[in-house]
Amino acid sequence: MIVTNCRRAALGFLLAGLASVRAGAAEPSIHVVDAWARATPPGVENGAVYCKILNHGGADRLVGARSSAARAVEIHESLAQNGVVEMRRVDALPVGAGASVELAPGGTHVMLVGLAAPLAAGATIQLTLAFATAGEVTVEVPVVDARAPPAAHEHEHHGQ
Amino acid sequence: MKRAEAVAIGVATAIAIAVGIGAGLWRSVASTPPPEIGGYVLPRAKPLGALQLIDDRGAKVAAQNFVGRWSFLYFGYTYCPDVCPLTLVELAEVKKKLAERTPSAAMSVYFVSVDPQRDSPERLHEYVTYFDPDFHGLTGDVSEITALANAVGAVFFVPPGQDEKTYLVSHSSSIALLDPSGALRAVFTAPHDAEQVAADFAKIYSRYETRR
Repeated sequence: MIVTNCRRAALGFLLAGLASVRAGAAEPSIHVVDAWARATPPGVENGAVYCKILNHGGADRLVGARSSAARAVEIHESLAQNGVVEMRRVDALPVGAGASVELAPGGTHVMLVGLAAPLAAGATIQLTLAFATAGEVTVEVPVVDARAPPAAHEHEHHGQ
Repeated sequence: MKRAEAVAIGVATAIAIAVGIGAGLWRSVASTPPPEIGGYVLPRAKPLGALQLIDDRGAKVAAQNFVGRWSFLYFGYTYCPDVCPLTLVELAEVKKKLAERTPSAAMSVYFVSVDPQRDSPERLHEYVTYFDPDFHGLTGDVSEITALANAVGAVFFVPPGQDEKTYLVSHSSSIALLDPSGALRAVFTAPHDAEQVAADFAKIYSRYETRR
């Protein structure tokens, strides 16, 4: 499937994703892991971040996001219905008690609107996700070249 | 038997055999349904009709520019950060697979902008060549893009009530395939998997390439 390449690329960043931190609390109820941003072609305005949200606490909702890498950050959902793809803004993404929610290519994603600069593979951006109950979670997001990798590129990914 | 008679019989036999083989071939092709693919194959390819677009290098593109190669058309826009890059990565993969699988099939990939207001030829050029240096971008007047979309069964529209700078565009998720006569031959429906599209193309190619 389409997702496989990106997932494979993202796997290499499992550890980087686990380094997510929540400012303040000693025992955060929400962890954001496996975060990665799609490297962007030159000239494009927007980017996308994917991640997994693990909720160890009670029912919560992702209600906002921000990053210094973009003018605005929104939660979006790509919906494919009747052969048409529609991207919709999601105001609040429910994260059930003890549940995990995956933001993956072709589905729900964090949209970076108005990039300050193109996202270059190998760089890292900071993303803060705001949850209604758990508060803010800031995560370091590696930028990944998600193009079908020639053998040499793939090697780079796994090397990090 | 006189020599002339022998020649006449020989010729008649040859014609009979040729006609028989021809009819047999024609019957086998005509009675076999189009190959099954992840999408649909048109039993009769559908010509595009007149259109006037601009490619990512600023050159004019008309319907006849699609003649001579198999063309894969995907409708999207550079403002789209998720599904469009995903599909172009997949199409780059399809191109690589076809270079090995059907090396004799000349093919091109076109990313047709559904957002000509923001997608200039320059921006499209930077965008499409990022995914593959041989990819083409197409843009132009909305009416001309709509004409192409209509010709290949694709749709796009801007849902109402959006900001005039940050608007999103809804668009078909399918990939259209034009044959080397420049006519619509097949449509691959989403979700797209490069292996599946390449295998489907190989079926279409072996079925229709020899008949042109």
